[in-house]
Amino acid sequence: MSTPVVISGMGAICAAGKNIEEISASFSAGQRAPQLPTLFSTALDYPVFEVKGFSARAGIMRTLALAFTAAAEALTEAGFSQGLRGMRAGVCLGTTVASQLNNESWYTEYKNTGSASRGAVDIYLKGNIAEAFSEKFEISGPALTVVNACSSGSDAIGVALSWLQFGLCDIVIAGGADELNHVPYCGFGALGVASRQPCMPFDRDRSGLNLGEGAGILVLEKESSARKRGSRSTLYVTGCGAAADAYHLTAPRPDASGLEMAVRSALSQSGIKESDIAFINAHGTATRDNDKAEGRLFARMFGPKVKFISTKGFTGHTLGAAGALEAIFAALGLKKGWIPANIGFANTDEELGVAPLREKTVIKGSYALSTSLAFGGNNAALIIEQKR
Amino acid sequence: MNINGIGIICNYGRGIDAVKSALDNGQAQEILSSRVNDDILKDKIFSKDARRSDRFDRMAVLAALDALSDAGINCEVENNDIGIILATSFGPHVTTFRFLDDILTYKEADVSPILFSHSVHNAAVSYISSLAGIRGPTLTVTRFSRVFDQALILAKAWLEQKKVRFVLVGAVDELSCIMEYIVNPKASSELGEGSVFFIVSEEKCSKIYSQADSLTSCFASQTEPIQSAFSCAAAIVLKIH
Repeated sequence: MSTPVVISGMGAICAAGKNIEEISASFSAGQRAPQLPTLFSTALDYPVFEVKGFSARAGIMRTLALAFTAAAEALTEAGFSQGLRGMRAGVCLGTTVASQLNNESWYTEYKNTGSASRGAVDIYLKGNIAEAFSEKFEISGPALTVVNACSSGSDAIGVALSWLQFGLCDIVIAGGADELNHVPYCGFGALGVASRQPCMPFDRDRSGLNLGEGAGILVLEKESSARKRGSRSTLYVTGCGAAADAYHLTAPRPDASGLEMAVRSALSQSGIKESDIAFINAHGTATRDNDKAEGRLFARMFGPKVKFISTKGFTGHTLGAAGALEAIFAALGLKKGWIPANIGFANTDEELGVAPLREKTVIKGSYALSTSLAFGGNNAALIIEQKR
Repeated sequence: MNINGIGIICNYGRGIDAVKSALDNGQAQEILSSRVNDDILKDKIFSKDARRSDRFDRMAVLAALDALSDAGINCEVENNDIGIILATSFGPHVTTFRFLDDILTYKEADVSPILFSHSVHNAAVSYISSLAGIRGPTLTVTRFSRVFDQALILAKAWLEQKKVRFVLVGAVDELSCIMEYIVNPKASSELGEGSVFFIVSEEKCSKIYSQADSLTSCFASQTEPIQSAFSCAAAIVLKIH
């Protein structure tokens, strides 16, 4: 990588906690509490991971409120709590829900009368998260919202890396956010991939995913810029690979060759080999197909003893936020020197050839891999480094 | 950055000749002013694996495949060296609202998984990559203003970083009554729909329409969802014809 990119700040909010320290405490304690949705009425019985005790102020989309909360933490750590005015800064964020006008009451009113109140429309039109960040934090550089389904957060970090290395910016706010919403809740149920039990990533008896919500925001910065400002962060994003399955709209390619291409590209960009990876924070949705494809690839590329986990047992599947949250969790693992147990896992699936970590585990090494797969056949791989 | 191929779907038809014809007839301002005729979106490619694709997908697929064909790219050979960036403001919103219809009309458990999977913004790129066999990075990006401009800049970054040798970059948006109501409640301006894709590269291919750097002024001030992409295409067509 020609231009070293430092993570100068991180912020996160999800069902496991409203900031990084709370999340870390939940991880350490092995605590999780999925339950039936309270944010909307439903007759379905799929448990979810909601952020409890959190509400968006009137006139703002919940997804955006989650993103702003995580951003406040990240910007404070990075030393930008006053915003980014005058900086060569950009913003790239992933989402799914915030890109759609998924407001059932508004749509019902429109269908019944041919017109409807502007409130929900205004919230939607002001809810493009990259545009909203540009306005709030006075960011004058490039701004893009990535809508690549479940890999959106990882892909947004990849775009940020490209901008930094292309010289468009010195600083990029990158990450992803998504709220829990009734529409995808019904959709994932219809697809038959939502579980009625707390999810069990990589378990032999896994029965599907639980939806979640949250936001993960990273402040990525050219090393030269960060050091000039006095940042002492030793965390880096060293590589991002992306590749398409060209296979199916919703199912991953069984041989995971798209994900393999993405991982190899990220390794190459980082100038490292498979054996340099200390652990993997997997996509690990707990669906039959995803975990099978991903697990088999880990066995093939990294060997049967590879250390890996899915953190979705703590957070649920947070869709457009997932890749960013999991990149942050990978960075945290390197920084703190431990990663949590793959909560929900009990029995090894012999078909995979690998098993995730059952216990909180001490980590030695400098590099972590975070993987994301998505509807549409997108695959993304990020490599995080902790310089020792 | 060279433009090696163009594919376009608009209410005047399919392909740059349709745009040329409109420009020759002094109809350039009308290119964006109405819906694409459904006949234009008929193609045998949608008879098998893509039979469930929606209108948004079809506009995207046809323009993208035409751009690849126009550039003379053999996707079987270059499949790992092509990336895709699709820019849109509203995505497949018609399908999104059809899925909402499902939820409101039927029980939650009886909604269509097909509609749900097609309501996701990146479904169109999935079809493009599957039908063309493209295995490079694929991205769908959205903003309400100047989204194509930003996609084009990112394409240039990918090329300079040698992530891929070619980028299929384009803009797609679909018009519907509900979207007209949402973005244009007073009917103060005419909205349109369509799809434009460009193959861009650093390669000296046999066909180079123009260098994108020189086209910046064509779309710098545009704010409509796809207008900048159309302006870019129209400028190129004017230049070559």
